Amino acid sequence: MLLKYRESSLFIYALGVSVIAFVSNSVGALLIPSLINGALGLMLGSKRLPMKLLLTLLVFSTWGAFLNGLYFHNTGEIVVSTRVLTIRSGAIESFLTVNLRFFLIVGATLTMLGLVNIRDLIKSLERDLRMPSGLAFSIAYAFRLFPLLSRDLSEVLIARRERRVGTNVINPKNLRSVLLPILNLSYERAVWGGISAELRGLSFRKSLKGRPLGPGDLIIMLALTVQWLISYLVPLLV
Amino acid sequence: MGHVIKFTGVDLALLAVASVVSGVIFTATWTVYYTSEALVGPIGARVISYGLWFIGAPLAASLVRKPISALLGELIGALVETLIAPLGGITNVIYGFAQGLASELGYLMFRYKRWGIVQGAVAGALAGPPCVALDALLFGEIGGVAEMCLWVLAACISGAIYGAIASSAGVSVRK
Repeated sequence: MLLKYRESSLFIYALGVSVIAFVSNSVGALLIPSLINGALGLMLGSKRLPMKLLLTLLVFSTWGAFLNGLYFHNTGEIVVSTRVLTIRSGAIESFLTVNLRFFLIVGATLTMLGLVNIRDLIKSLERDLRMPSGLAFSIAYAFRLFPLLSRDLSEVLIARRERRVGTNVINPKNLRSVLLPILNLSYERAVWGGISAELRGLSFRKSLKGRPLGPGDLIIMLALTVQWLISYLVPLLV
Repeated sequence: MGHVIKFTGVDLALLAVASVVSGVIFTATWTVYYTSEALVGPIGARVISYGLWFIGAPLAASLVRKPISALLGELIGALVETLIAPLGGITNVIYGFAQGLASELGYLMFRYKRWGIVQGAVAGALAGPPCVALDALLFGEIGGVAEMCLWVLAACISGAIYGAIASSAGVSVRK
């Protein structure tokens, strides 16, 4: 099967589907798009992404959605009542809505990432959506730096462990002292990387020509439109 | 077109550095946020974690020191976060754009003449209100007026603290 599509069409799809999450605020409107994208995302994304990490974070976010529901929307009829906790219908509805939004957003993004190579995606954003070439260079360079920065960070953390100082990067006390050596190293690399890119004619680079829309693009846009219609029509019918 | 901002290859590479560092921190912040929310509630969670999601702008601005570098730093950082561990999905980019734009105002207020720690703190603090507004829209986190004011305040305080830390690191590197 060789359905030609632009990688940027999948980016538009993920963005368009995520907008449904922002706009729709009922379980009925979100249910079908969330199930479709959640299933697709898990199927396609599992090949390329660290699913264990993602699933752990999803468990955290489910717990967070439950707490949010309890904090902000615990109104309406009582559904569960214990000595410590009373859960009302508003909290359940909010829990479901927020979780469906999570599935929708994460599913659509996983679908996109499962079907495209990041380098091709950046190229396509520049070529087909006219993203400025400087921005495309920055994003591409960021992904090239990623493994180097990970290595630097692990070395810095080893040194900090040996010196018995904090290794929790997120702690404000440690953040500056962890950031400094990494930024110092990366700064040098960036300066020489930037000079080298300039010498190879970065400023004179012409933007690439866009590709025509293929049948794959039409299918992607059709899928997006159908989901928009579902999220709009279902609440009217229910 | 005398006011077109020209980014050199070095600027773009520095922007990439700021973005990848902040993208990694943004990804780690999800766990911090949910853990702190479970332990200390919504206000404490915002003070502890929200500023970490705002550091892309002050970090990039203090390294690159050109108009719109704060916006681009936050936006590309959010894109990197989306592509490495898409928990927030593509909405990260929407958050990144809104927060970056608000942070950019912090530097605009100083007419793009100063890129120090104070400016970093202001830029970090300004990212708080749009972030809380988007939370209300997407996650239904809507409380009473007093509660909302407290959340915005918590997000601004956190943004100011982490913004100051990030820009102080950036300033030290540029010296």
